Amino acid sequence: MSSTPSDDTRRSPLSVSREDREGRVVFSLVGDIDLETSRRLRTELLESLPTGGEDVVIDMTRVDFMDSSGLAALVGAWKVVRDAGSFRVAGPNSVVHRVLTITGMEDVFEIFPDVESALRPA
Amino acid sequence: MTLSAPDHTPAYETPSLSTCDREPIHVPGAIQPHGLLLATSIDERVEVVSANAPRMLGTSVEEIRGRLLHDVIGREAAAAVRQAVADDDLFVARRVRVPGEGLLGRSPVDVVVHHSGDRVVVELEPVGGAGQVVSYRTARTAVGRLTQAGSVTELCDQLATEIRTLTGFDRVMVYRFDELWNGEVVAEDRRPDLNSFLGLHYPATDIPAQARRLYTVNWTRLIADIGYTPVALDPVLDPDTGQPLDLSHSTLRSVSPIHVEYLTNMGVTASMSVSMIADGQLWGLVACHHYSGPHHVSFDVRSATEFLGQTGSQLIVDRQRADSQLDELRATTALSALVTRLGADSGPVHDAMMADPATLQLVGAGGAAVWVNDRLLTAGSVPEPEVLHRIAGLLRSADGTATASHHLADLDPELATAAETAAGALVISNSVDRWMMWVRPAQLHVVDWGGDPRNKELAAAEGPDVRLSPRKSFDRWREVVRDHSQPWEPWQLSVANQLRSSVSHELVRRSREHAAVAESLQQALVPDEAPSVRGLDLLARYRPAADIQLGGDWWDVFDLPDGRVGVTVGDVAGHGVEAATAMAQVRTALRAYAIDGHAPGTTLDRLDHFVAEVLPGRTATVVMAVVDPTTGEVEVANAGHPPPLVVTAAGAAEQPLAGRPLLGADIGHARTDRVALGPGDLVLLYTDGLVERRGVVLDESVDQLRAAAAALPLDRPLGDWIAGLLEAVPGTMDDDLTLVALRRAPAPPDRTTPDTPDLKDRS
Repeated sequence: MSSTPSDDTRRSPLSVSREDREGRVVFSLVGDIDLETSRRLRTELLESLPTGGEDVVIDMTRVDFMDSSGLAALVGAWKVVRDAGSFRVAGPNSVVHRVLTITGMEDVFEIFPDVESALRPA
Repeated sequence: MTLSAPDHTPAYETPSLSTCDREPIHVPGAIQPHGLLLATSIDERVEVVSANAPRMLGTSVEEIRGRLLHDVIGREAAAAVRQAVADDDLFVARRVRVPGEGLLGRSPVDVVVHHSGDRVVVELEPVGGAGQVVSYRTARTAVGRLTQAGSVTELCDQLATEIRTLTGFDRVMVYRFDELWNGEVVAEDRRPDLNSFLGLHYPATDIPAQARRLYTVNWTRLIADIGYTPVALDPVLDPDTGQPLDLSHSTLRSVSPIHVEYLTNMGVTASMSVSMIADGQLWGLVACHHYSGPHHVSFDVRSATEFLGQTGSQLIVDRQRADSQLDELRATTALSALVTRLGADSGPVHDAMMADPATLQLVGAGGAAVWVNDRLLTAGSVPEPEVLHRIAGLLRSADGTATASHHLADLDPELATAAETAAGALVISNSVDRWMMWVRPAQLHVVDWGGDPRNKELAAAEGPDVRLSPRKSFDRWREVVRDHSQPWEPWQLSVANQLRSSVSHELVRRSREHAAVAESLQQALVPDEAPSVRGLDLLARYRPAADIQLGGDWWDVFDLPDGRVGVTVGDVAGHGVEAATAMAQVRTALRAYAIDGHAPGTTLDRLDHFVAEVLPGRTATVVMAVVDPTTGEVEVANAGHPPPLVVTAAGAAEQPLAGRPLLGADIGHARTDRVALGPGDLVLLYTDGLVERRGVVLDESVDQLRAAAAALPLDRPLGDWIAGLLEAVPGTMDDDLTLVALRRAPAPPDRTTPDTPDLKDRS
């Protein structure tokens, strides 16, 4: 498990950690995904996304807020894995879910209520 | 040569090395034997006399105490004392003759006077001794030679030479203190057969704090004969105060037995030291050693030495300051050039700064790092990011001015492991979110100590009750220091502060420029005025985000070849010039597809593909309406955008959601919906700035919007209607906000409504 260098030493508006679980790559996001943090989210996702066609789960259980630039980062990540693997979003709260609904990405990503259900085989 | 430490018990308890710092060396209760000390009351009655009175004056102590001064040392000397006190002209020797059978009666005598508490202290010593006969000319020519020295090193060398010539000591050293009061021999002039002490270091404990205090008040100390037997004062305790006489300013003061032992261990037979004071600070010492027996130096020569020492130290400090000013001037010039380059660079300021080699050179660093906007930028050799953050935390200052350390391991021992790149650091920061830092690697620094300096640690380990003797060996003891960097000069901190403030100014300048660009870009891209269309009432409003960043919002109204009118409202994700540029491209492409005759749904599908291909990584949302002004029929298509609101007399209703995901996903197909507007019905298109708020579910604010729209009378002028809506649903200031309202006739056109104060009227 890797983490951003920031967690312990300073307040960080968003942290991203990666974990391999049950054959899937799970990214856990904690914090707000907004204009300030989306650039880093994009970079971290793109740097550590599997390219070999694995299945990706984005755990958004602990994300309170996501704006359009944050969504753009997720869309960018989805485009990397869309042809070879699956892209699942787990546990979005109602605020985040509504953004996915309005932007039509609800039907593009696979949305699951929590990480456990997202880890079940398709 | 064997020398035994003389048997002298001072007027206080026997000190040890560990209590050395507390040894009250200014009240030894004794003097050296080469002169006579008398302390008198205000009315010139002698109250204290040194026990060597019989030898000096040929009179017993008992005969002297209680007598008037002129009865003891004669009228001439007593008059000189009275004159000195009256003129307040102390510490200046007056040459007199003293009567009597003692040593003082045989030659001219120098008498020096000073106050100690309520006592007048009179010290007398015979003229004579070693060293040159000093004249004004001697001193002047010596100073002349000092001023001609080309560097600080030459100056120190010259000073050692001048003082050795003047005093005749076997060895004269210039000894400089570092910030921890360790000393280093930086210049030396010696008898050719002696080995060199040049470059040797001596630990701070060799000259304890109270000795350094004495050195700043009494600039010259002579031990004419290291093997002297101290001469007690009689009485040791002043009868008036019950305390030993304070001899801080005495020229004859008996020195600490530890100091005598120390010098004896070194083989020294006579010594003198002269304080080097510059700008009120003890800079160093001129230390004189003699190895071939007693060496008495007359008062005149001591005064001349003191004068040369003072002049020399001021010259040295001035010279250092001039050298450092020259360095600072060079750095300031380099700084201006750097700032000019940063101003001309079109990239982000911090990136440009870290890419410029001058950033490291400015302060002589091996590496640099900047943490800003959650990004770490580095240049040169730097430790791991975790270490950088830790250092930044340690050296943070409340006011954000530069703070530096050349020994980080002092602040956090774990940082010693990072010394290879960061043994020292200079940090500018007052918050965890932003900092700038320069680091320097450890220097391999070899220190040659004059003897093993670890006595200090030993003493600390043994505790206060163990007496440690001064070290016996002064053989070269080499220590290699690996965890210190080159120290940071004060001017380097000042240059770092200047760079920080220049970068801030540059950022402010750019954001102002941004605001200007935003203004003109908006004017260039977003129409000032919706075209007037017969049968339609149209009004658009745009409000930029509070932080004056460029937004990605747009609106557009255009005529289609078939007589209908296209209306779009969209939002490219992100802020700044790049988002605004992308917005301009999306908006133009949309127009082109629409004017080509494609239906709204097809237009948006093509636009999706366009964004995915031409603007990789970008996403945008848009809603598009095509209105037939004659029939009131509207075609609506949506790509991931908040759906339009249709407001009629019956109420307000949201259009169904998008048929396709947002632009840039490169997937899905848009649906074209149809809405029929009756006369006076209204369609509202808006961006998420109107309904998006942190911590609020979008549905709630959309409900609010719908309720507000339904409540407002539809026959109000359109400007009033929108103002009322914005009052009820203020939206967010974090994002830009766009809305377009179109209303079908017959409601009267509204072109005269004044601007609402917080909105830019684009109609």
